[in-house]
Amino acid sequence: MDDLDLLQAVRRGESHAFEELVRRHERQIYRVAFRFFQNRVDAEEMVQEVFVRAYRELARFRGGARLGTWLYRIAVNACLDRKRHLGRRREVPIDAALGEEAGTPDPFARAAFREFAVRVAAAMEELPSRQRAILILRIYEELSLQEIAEVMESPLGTVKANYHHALVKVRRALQDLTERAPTKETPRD
Amino acid sequence: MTDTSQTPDCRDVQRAIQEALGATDLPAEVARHLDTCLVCAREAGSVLRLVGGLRSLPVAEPSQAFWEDLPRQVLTEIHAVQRRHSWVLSAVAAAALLLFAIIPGDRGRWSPRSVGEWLPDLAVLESWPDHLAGVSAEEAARVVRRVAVAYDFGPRAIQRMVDATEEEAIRRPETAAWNLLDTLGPQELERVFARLEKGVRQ
Repeated sequence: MDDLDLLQAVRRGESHAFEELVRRHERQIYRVAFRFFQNRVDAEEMVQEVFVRAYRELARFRGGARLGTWLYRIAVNACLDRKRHLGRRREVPIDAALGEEAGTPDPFARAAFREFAVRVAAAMEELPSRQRAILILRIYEELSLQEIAEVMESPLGTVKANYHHALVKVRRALQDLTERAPTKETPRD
Repeated sequence: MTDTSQTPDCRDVQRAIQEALGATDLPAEVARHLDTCLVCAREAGSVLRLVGGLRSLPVAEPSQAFWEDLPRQVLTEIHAVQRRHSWVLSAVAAAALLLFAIIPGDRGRWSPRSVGEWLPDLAVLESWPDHLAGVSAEEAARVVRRVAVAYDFGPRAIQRMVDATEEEAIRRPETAAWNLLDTLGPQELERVFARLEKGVRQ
């Protein structure tokens, strides 16, 4: 059953279909929310919020875009709303620094990785929200700039400009670290 | 490889480099250019190292229990929202009907025209529970404002909330109306109903 079939089933009121829809896309939404807020608590709340919004807006989904794109749009809008509501945080969250690399045996490598993660978190926190979202969709979700333009409902030129600005800012913020940054490519979930 | 000064060609190449996620993303002509241009090759190395570094950062995974429980949590929240909407709509609809019951005579400031303006909103309210997704949030906010302003709730705090709802409806329409009515809460609405019953206008 593809996404559109599932959607039809949801519209008929079949709750198991919605459950399946959540299952299919939950990790995609979580990843975006986690990258955006850089902590697990906010990301978990956002996943729930996004699917509640998606349910409420199902009638407006006409199938012109892929369901994944539409969900990305809801997720980004929800993140932007929440960020606006939260305002600027004083502390840089560090969940982003805690992960599998913490288990590496080399304490120096561990410390360097942690420093890199914290600095990335701080650099991301400094980005305007829309630039942050665009950077996340490109670098972590591997969407093309055209797909991002659809998600953000923005002209392609605007998305390109925002992406370049974001990359330049992050690069500047990490300039002293990037020469020794870890380069392991993380596969998508 | 020779160190060359930047040319327009280099600018195009560096733009392409910035959009790449890895060396394999680079178009063939860009890759060829990198073989001959030290400046662009350095730029490519720097950008790709940065992107690689960013992509190496892991996502902190939630517990397995979170994933297992998520669909149920989402459905529970959806049903809770639906129940809340249903309650709010009942309250607003009751208030609207009450308004029609008390407006005759000279007590109110209502004119037949202003009542007429209400009718489309009432139609929206009636169809709302069955066609929730079909009603825009702007319509919801408009109905709320009509209720609040039309009834002249009185307390300035509430009027401020109504004004804020208008702004909120533009900024975040899907929740604005609900937020206002949730904020008012059943007790305040009861007080409003009581005032209306007495025909008291502030």
